[in-house]
Amino acid sequence: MSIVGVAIFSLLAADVSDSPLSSEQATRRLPSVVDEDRRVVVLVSALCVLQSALIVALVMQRRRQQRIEESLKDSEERIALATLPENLGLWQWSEHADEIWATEHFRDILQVPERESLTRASVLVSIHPEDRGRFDEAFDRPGNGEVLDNDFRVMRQSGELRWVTGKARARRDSSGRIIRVTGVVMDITDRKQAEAESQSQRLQLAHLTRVSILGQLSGALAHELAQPLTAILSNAQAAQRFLASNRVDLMEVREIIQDIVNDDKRAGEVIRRVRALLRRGEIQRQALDVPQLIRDALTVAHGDLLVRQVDVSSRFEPMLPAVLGDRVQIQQVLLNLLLNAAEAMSGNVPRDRRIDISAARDADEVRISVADCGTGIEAERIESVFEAFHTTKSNGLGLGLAISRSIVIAHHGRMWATNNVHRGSTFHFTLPGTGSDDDRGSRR
Amino acid sequence: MIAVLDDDEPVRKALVRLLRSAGFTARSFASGGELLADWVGTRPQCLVLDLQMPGTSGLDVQRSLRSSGEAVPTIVMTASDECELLDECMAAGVSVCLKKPLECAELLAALELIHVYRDEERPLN
Repeated sequence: MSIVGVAIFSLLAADVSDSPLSSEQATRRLPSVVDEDRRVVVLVSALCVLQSALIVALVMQRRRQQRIEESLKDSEERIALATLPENLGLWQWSEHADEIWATEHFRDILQVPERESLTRASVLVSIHPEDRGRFDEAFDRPGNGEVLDNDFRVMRQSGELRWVTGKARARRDSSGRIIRVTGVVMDITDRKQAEAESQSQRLQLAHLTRVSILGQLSGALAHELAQPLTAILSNAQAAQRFLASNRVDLMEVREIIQDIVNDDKRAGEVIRRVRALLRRGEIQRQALDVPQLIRDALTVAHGDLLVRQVDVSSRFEPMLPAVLGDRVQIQQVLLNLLLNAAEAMSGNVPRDRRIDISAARDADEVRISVADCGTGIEAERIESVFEAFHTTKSNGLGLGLAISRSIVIAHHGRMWATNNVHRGSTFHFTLPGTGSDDDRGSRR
Repeated sequence: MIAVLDDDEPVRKALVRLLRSAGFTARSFASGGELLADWVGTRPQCLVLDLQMPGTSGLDVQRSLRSSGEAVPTIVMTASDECELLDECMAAGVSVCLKKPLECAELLAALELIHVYRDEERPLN
């Protein structure tokens, strides 16, 4: 400020000596030194002013820059702070410097030392070789403003692998060159582990269902296979005897062999049906015809129900919509309910063992009900029967209903039990109908 | 004459053939009702029954014959190995219980056991 003050003072001094004196004394006095060097004085004064203004401007500029830097640092800190609880790491790459700015968390997640400066290549080193391509895409592939979404693995120095999910958005300039990529990464190892566990649990559960149903069906299977095998053996042994006798009726032997072939095919069909039921593999959702599903389940359970001397009647509402589901899983649910119902009536005399299975439309869903005339369920247990390991059977694991309900829920349906007015109980489940407002061939 | 009762047509046909190949006369029935309806005309020496049939089961037939004093020696066939069923059979007066699939030698031995003879070796009265 002092320099500015001097400059103004000198300007004022020049003015004071300039105007009033010169007008009054110009005619009788010689020009003073000031008058003679007037130009020089004005020039120097102006230079002083200019210099001062420049200095002020520079000071202001510097302060502003400091403020910007501070606020930038602040906002970086704020972003880093905001992303802290989410375990998010932020990064930004600019093409002109091939430099990556990154938050502390990003360095944590990718295991990069804090001081090391980051480039596209140096970040890639810490990513699992098989996944590098997926991370590197972010620098070439996305269109302007497009967000790229990828999961990749990071190798720690300890050899530990971490799963990381990343999103990156690229900016392209007018010529289409990527000039900046901004991204966020998050460690999802825990989630990936949980996913893997639940997937393996699901597979185990599905396997357990198949095993338990196979166990429940073994009686039925024995019967279904014993019939053709009995016919085959008796026919073959009869043929042997006929051939060993004096007078061979070749026509009869030919007939016998044809019958053997037919029964062998019948046994093969039983095995094919069981295999279809117990098939391993991915769950396939398709439109399923409910009456056909029930008829198939009854065919499989036929032998078992016969052994237990249970009569079955079925009732289907006409024009039922198809349901969306996995054929094998829904069959498993139906079989479980049928076999449970048969089991519930084991105390009844044979004439008195009846299962009523019905299917009806219920708003947008199809409701399937399996009613028995057994002892029913105590009111306080009507919900707990669906819990795992809840069983009243001496030979059961108590998983059937728990598994069945989980299958139904996975199909967006519901499953519950009611006691019948007269006696016995009914298990119901619903499955969403396909296209309740369109008729693309799903109706029968 | 031996009456074969099984709801499964190929099994019936094969059993009748097997018995015939061993020198027995046999006739088959598809249901308990059919057999009972034709009982008087048939009067078999022996019954070969399937235990697991829809409607009137083999045991029901056996019981109703017994209650009307018409019981004849009976062989039951079953694919199940539930002990309760065997107990029930014995209680209903069944002579022999055979597992399906039937072995020819076993069936013939069982017939011998309950004194059912081939046509040509029937003792003369």
